[in-house]
Amino acid sequence: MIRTVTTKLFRDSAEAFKRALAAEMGCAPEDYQSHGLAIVGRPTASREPHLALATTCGAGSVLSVRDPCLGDWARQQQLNANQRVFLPSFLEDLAAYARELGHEGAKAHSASGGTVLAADLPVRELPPGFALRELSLSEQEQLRVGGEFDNALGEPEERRRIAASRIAFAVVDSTDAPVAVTGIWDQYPGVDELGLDVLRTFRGNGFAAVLTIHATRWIRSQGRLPIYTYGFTNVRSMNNALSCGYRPLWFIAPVYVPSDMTR
Amino acid sequence: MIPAMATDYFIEALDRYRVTRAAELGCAPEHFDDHSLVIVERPAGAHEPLALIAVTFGTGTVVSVVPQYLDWVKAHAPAMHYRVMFPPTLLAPLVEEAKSRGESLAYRSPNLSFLPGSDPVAISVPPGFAGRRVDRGFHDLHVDSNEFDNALGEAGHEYVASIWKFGFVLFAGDSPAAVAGAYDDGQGMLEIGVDVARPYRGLGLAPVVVTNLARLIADEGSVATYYCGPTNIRSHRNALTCGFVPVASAVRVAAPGM
Repeated sequence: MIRTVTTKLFRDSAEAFKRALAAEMGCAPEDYQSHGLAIVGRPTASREPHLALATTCGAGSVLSVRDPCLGDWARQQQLNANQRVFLPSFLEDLAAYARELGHEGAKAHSASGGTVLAADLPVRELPPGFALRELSLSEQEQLRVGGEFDNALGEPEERRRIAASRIAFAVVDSTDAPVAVTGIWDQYPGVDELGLDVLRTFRGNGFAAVLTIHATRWIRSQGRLPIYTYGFTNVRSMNNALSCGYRPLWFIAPVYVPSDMTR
Repeated sequence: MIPAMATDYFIEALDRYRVTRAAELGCAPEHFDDHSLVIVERPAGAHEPLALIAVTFGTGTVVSVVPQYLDWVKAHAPAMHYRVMFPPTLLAPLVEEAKSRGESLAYRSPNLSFLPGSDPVAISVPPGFAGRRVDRGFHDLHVDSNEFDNALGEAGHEYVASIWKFGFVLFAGDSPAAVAGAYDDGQGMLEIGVDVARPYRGLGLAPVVVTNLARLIADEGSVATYYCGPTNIRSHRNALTCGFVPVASAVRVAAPGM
């Protein structure tokens, strides 16, 4: 296991991702180096459908809003430190104000951590009796309805994400039934994100790492930047990312209107 | 959660940490392995003065709550165990419930817990600095400045001062440049807090004091723990650089100021 995060691959990946993130948020990449809070309007070309997004790469924070009134409200708050935009109480109040403005059902969502690659790891072998293969589109559709692989393939109503899907791979057992799945989707220009699920009875066999490394190598073979994200309390997923060569770079917390996410 | 390439040291440390956390919460260590929500009463001898603490090691979630809110929490707990960790689901409503009872509670942002991935190895003290262990005298001399509030605790915080044990400091001449402090974190565990004085930031001193203190803690037969808020990416990366591995996440509800 590598310890240091400051490999050349990490630095290059971090710079590339910060540029992509800044373009989506509507800020300058340098805003993530400052120790201040930048409140910016979301560019119309951004792919992010969330009403408001708070992001940080460890120094400054950026609050990107689709409705300028939310930015005005945020500027009026007494935030003594930039990272206070991540306080659940701030995000809940922002969501409440969004509802007052007519953004029906606006609510804060749990936050996520994000990682980029710091080490290019070799493929890992599967135990006897298992194989790795690509899933066809019809297989993906069938599995999506079953709901067991929703991190990898998205839920049926997540039309935006499904439309951005690029490929999916599965670890299959001796009957060719998928026991673990990874899906890759076009998250930002030049950036692919991977999602992952392992059926509970098959956990502990290393399938998550096999699929993560396979997906990572596939993304890089396409000339694109792989990213891996996890819910902030999901220690298992966090450790899978670390064991597959990823290192933490950013943190993101959204306020959203549910209907915006399914269009 | 045991990382794929876990060392014997890490496995033993994790086992010890789980036992300590279970004692603090009032549950059995096996409850952390469930894929469900376990709600227990906060034990009378609990270390931290909290109304509620929820902990997950990545599988199930355990909630430990004081008796007066136990029934309320059971009645309002979410179906999916991990949603307990999301403040709007249970913690914010609990604070509102307390308000309706005339009590004041506040929830804190969640944190991540780390343990050493292997037997700690101290990073050499860089040229131009002198490094040494410090004890209560150093703490008492510097705590009021609040310059090293992660490493020494905030001025006037009696409870935090009472659990502070010892530290490791890098000195530039007579001035402390970087300080790591160890706090009692339950039986056989010592939590590390770290600060680097502003003129010395960016020199890579934080990993030096953290790894040296982790080594001192191990030499005393204890296990070092390290915590950071999930938004504190720099601290998270410092933990990884120092050889720590994330093992758990916790949220807390307490009376303000506790």
